[in-house]
Amino acid sequence: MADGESISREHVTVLILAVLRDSPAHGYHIMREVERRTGSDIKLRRVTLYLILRDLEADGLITSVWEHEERARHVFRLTQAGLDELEKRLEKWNRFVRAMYRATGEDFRE
Amino acid sequence: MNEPHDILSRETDRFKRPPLRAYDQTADDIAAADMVEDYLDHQMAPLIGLIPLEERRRIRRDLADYLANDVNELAEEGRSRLDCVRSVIAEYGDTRAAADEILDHWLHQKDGNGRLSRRFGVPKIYAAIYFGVATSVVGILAQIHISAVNSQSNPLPVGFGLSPAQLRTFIPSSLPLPESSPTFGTLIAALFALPITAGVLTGWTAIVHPARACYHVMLIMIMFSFASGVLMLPACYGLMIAVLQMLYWLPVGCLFAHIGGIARRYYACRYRETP
Repeated sequence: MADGESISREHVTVLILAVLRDSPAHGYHIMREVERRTGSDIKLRRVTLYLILRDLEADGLITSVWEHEERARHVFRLTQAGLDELEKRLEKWNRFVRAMYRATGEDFRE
Repeated sequence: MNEPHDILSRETDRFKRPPLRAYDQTADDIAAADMVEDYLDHQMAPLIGLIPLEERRRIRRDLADYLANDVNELAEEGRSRLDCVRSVIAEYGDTRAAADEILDHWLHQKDGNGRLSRRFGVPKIYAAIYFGVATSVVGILAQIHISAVNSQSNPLPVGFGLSPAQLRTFIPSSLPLPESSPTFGTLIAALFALPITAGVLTGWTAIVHPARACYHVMLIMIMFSFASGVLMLPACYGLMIAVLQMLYWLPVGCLFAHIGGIARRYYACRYRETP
C-alpha cells in the first residue's frame, strides 16, 4: 500500500518505536516486523529507516549497542524517554482516529 | 648468507594477498565484499561536496554496518554471501533516490530549521522567496508602467514597421499594444528573464527536488497574480502577468530549477579544499 517515503515520517517513527517497545531489535528485524505487523501494507525503505533511527538516537529516544553473539549485531533499544514519547504520540494518534471515526460515522473495517 | 633468505622472503611476499578482509575466505566472499564497497561508493558519490567529509564518513560507516547486519541475517538462512549481498542491495533500492533522501535530510531537516521550513520543506521556502521576489518586482514594474502610461496623453506603440491598426489584427483588443516606452520594455524583459533567474537560484540553493518545489509554489503565485490582476482592472497588465506566469513562468521556472540543481551538484563534484 505505502512505502516509508509516502507515509509521513511521524507515522513511521511511531511504528519503529512501537516495535522497539516490545523488544530490542536490529534494523533488519525492525523492517521485517513493521512489514509483518502491517500485513505488508507498509514497507519501509532502508534509508528511511536508517535516517529515522539516527534521529531517534540523536534525540535520546533509543540507544544502540553492538551485541556479539554468533555474529556482531547493531541492536537498538528504547529508552525511558522513547517510551514516554511513544505514549504521547499514541495518545495523540488515538484522539485523531477516534475523532475521524466519530466525524465520519464509520466503524473500523478489517 | 642472507641473500637466499631475502630472495625467499621477497618471493613469498609476492604471493601474499594484502590483508584487506580478514574474514573473507572464498572468491564468493571477496566478490560480495567488493559489491558492498562498490554499492557504497555509488551511494556516497552524489553526496560529495554537499555533505562535509566527516558526516559522509559517518553515513558510510553506518550504512556499511547496516548492510553487514542485513547480510548476516540473510546468511543465517544458508544462502551464499554474494546472493545475500545482492538481495540486500536490491532492497536498499536506487542509490540516487536514497542519496536524495539522505541529502534532503541533511540539508533541510536540521534541528536549526524553523517550524515553517520543517512543515513545508526548505526547497519550497527557497522557491517561495525567489519567485515571490520575482513576482513582486514584476508587480512593481507593472504599477510603474501604468503610472507612466497614465501620465502620458498618447503612449506610442512599437510599430515593427506596422501601423497600430495592422498590429491590432494580430493582438486581441483586450490586450495592450506593445509600447516603445522604457518602462514597458523593462516590464517585458523582467517577465521573461525573472523566472529563469528565480528557477536557477531555487535549484542552486534547494538542490533536492527543486522543480517540484517550484511547481507547488508557482501554482499559488499564479492564483495570487490572477486575484491581483482582477483587482487591477480595467488595466489588464495584472491578468497578462498571470497568464504569462501560467504559460511561461511555470514550465520555464521548473526547468531552470532542475537545471540549477544539476549545476549545483556538478559544481559540488569538483574538488576544493575546505577551510
